[in-house]
Amino acid sequence: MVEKQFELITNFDIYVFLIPFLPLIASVITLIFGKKYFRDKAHLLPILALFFSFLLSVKVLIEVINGKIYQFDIYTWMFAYDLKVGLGFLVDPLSAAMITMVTCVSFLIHVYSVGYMGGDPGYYRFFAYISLFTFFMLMLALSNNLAELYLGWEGVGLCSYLLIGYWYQKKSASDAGKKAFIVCRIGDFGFALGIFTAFYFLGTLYYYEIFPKLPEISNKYIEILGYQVHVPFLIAFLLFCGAMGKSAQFPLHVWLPDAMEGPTPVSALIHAATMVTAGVFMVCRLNPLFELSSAMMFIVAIIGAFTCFMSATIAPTQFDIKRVIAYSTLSQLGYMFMACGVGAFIAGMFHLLTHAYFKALLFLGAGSVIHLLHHAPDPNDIRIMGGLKKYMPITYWTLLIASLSISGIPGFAGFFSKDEILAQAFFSKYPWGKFIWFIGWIVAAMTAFYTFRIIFRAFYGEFKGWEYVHGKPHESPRVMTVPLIFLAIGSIVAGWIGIPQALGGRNYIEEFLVPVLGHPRVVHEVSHSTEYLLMLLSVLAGLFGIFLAWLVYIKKPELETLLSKNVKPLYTFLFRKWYFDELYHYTIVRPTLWISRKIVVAITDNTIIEGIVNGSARLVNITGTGLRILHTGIINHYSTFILIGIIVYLLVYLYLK
Amino acid sequence: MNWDLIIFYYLAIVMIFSSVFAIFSRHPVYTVLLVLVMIIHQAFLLLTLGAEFLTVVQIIVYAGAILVLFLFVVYLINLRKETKRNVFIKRASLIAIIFLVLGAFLMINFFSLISLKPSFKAYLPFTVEEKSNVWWIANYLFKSYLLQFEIIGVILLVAIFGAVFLIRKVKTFE
Amino acid sequence: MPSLEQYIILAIILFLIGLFGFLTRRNLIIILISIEIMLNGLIVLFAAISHFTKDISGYIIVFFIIAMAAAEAAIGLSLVILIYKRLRTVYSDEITTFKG
Repeated sequence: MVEKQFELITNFDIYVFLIPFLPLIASVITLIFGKKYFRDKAHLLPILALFFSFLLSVKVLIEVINGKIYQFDIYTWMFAYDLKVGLGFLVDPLSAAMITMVTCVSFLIHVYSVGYMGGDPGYYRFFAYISLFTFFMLMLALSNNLAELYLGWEGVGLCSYLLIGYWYQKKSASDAGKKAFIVCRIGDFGFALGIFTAFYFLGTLYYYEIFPKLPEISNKYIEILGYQVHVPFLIAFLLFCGAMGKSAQFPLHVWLPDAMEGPTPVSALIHAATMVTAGVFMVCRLNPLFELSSAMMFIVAIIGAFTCFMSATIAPTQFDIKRVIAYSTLSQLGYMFMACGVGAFIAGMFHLLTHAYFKALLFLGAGSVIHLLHHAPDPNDIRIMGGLKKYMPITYWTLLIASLSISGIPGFAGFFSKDEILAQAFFSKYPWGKFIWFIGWIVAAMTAFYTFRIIFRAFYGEFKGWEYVHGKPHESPRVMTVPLIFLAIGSIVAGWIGIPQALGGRNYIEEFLVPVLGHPRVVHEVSHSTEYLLMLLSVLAGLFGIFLAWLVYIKKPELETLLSKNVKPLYTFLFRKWYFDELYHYTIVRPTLWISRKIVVAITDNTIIEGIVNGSARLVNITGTGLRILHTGIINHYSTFILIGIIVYLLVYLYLK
Repeated sequence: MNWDLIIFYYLAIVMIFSSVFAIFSRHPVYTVLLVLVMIIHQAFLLLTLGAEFLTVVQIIVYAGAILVLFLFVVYLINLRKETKRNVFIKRASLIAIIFLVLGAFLMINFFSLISLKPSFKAYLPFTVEEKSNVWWIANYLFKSYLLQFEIIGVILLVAIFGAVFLIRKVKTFE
Repeated sequence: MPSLEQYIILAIILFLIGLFGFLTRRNLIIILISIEIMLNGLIVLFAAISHFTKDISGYIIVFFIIAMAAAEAAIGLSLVILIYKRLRTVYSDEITTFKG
């Protein structure tokens, strides 16, 4: 394969600039004027901005395909001695692919939200927030230095917080928002430290300056607490902490399932398609750094695999439809990290792109069902659904496409990307590749099982939610179903850009991303026969999962309680999400609360701070009572005081110079 | 004792006494009329200083416009009932002491300031003989001080708008 | 010809009389008139200094002071009328809405 020659453009390009800034402008205008002037028309401006943003990113993508790379600064943001950070853009194949996906999914979800959020009192707020979120996500993807990446990183975190707690009247929603924010902060702290470390050792934050300098630090060690620490490992690990927080990987995964308290379009946009993939994007962006340390690659792979497996075991036990999909998101993110951890960055990125479509579709389809049942006390509960197939055909078919896609059935997007990951894991030059493949293979079956559990429970059997629906269950309005159809098309077609050569296709996505992410790290030439075998195995796994779900939920419903009755401890263990929430509650939350109550409140607050506060208040009170006498309200007295002031000033001026 | 001084002392004494009586008078109409007396005398004082243009302005603007405005307001606000009450606020003597301190202080310092005879050398040919006072003022007002002149115009305009705005009819009164 | 000092003493006396009225009178209209008296003191001062130093600037300043006095009287009197409309009084010691 001939390396493609790129034309580097360093001049300011208005189109690239407008891609992120159109949503920002729309967001700001909507936020300021929305409440008074736009009200139920608040969606117009953000949707229009997103649409143009999408068109522009397609234009930029075509230009990148034709061999252009944009790298320019708008202005210098921070400048201090040898630290120079600009607000700039880098458009290369990686970020072009990312922004096209982000604007496309975001646009469709904006449209969908018109139907889903209609009549909500905070309508304008919702659109302003998701538009702002899109801005930050695009800044993240387009950044040309780490500090700007961090800006987008924190910005999406903020928007995530705002949107999870969008229904802030609900205690659980605002708690979930806080939880997401605090858990992410732990990761982001590591990320910030990572940026500082990178600057300390590399002296720059720009990507195009970092990469040529990497060989300098490849053999550097630094002593921390008596241990020799490999510098690339240190930087990569700290940065990866941020990725763990944002992409919800073990041990910082606990926030994502709770984040489902937000409106469903938010879950689709932020907690499935875009924001949570920021970690994967960052790892891909900095792939040369991560590759310098094989220990780091191992950690990435293992954390990905563990999260992948763990959430795949939790998902089947949950009854909240959105939580099931949230755990499947965790699991799929685990896949992406597994791919990164075995050096298959392209496969990870490819899975990120396809996953965005089918996961957004899963969420929006679920949202369509939830919208139907929104009078129920818990509309997310799959136990009150059932038999919706004949009432909501479009939702059913689109959701089925998404489920087939995520289960890895050939022809759908998920198959190509997941198969790519598994194949490259198997052939990886890293020794843990086979193990990763094995985990991925098992999880593929589990994924198919729990995804089809939703389908079978919600769309087959008898409808059980009659009391919550006025009249017959009906299909969602067209403004919601049309985005579903488009996303369904995306869930099929998105995979076709990366058909493996073994199947006689041309791997466009690989050709496109190779200049940035490099060739897959495989031991030797991949033999097609093994590849066919692997494909067969993973398809079989997917089919087995579907079959199992069919068996349990359609054919023999009595099997459903098999696990929960016979192996109760294991079931409870899974149902309580491996007791992670409880573990964190007892190891972190409770001690923190204890310390704050006993020490901070008792000593610092009650004695020192309150003493100062009350003392100063008392002092003010006494002084005020005294000065009150002078405050007669008669202007003559006031002018006399002014006069006294002038006399004093003149005396000081004339005699005390 | 020449005529200059006699005229000056006459004008100064009338001015001082009329303003003192104006301050102490019980009825506002008398105050305004006494101030009118003072202002006309001051206009003549300006004449002794060779500023005939300012004399005219003083009479037209001060006596003709401002004091008439005051008179109107005094008539507008019917104060006849309250004229029997105190003229000064309570503890006026205390304030008077403070004010006398300032007065003495200012006097002393001004005398010391004047005795310094600051160097007013860098000044323009100001010869009343060649050109009239009006010519000189016009010359400077419309050349060197044109911007300030325009600003004064704007300030007056704003004052007109402000006055109209303040006393317009608003339903929320009382 | 009287000297500059005599003019300045006259100006200061006028200023102080105005100041005294400003500080002690109850009637808001008379307080405003006191301000006019103070301004007249300033007019005398500037005119005298201008005359004795052969500098035209003093006269110009006098001109501006008169203009400012007109503006100030207009605004001040309309405020007095406003206060009278609202509170039915023009006596400063009866307007104690500022009292702490």
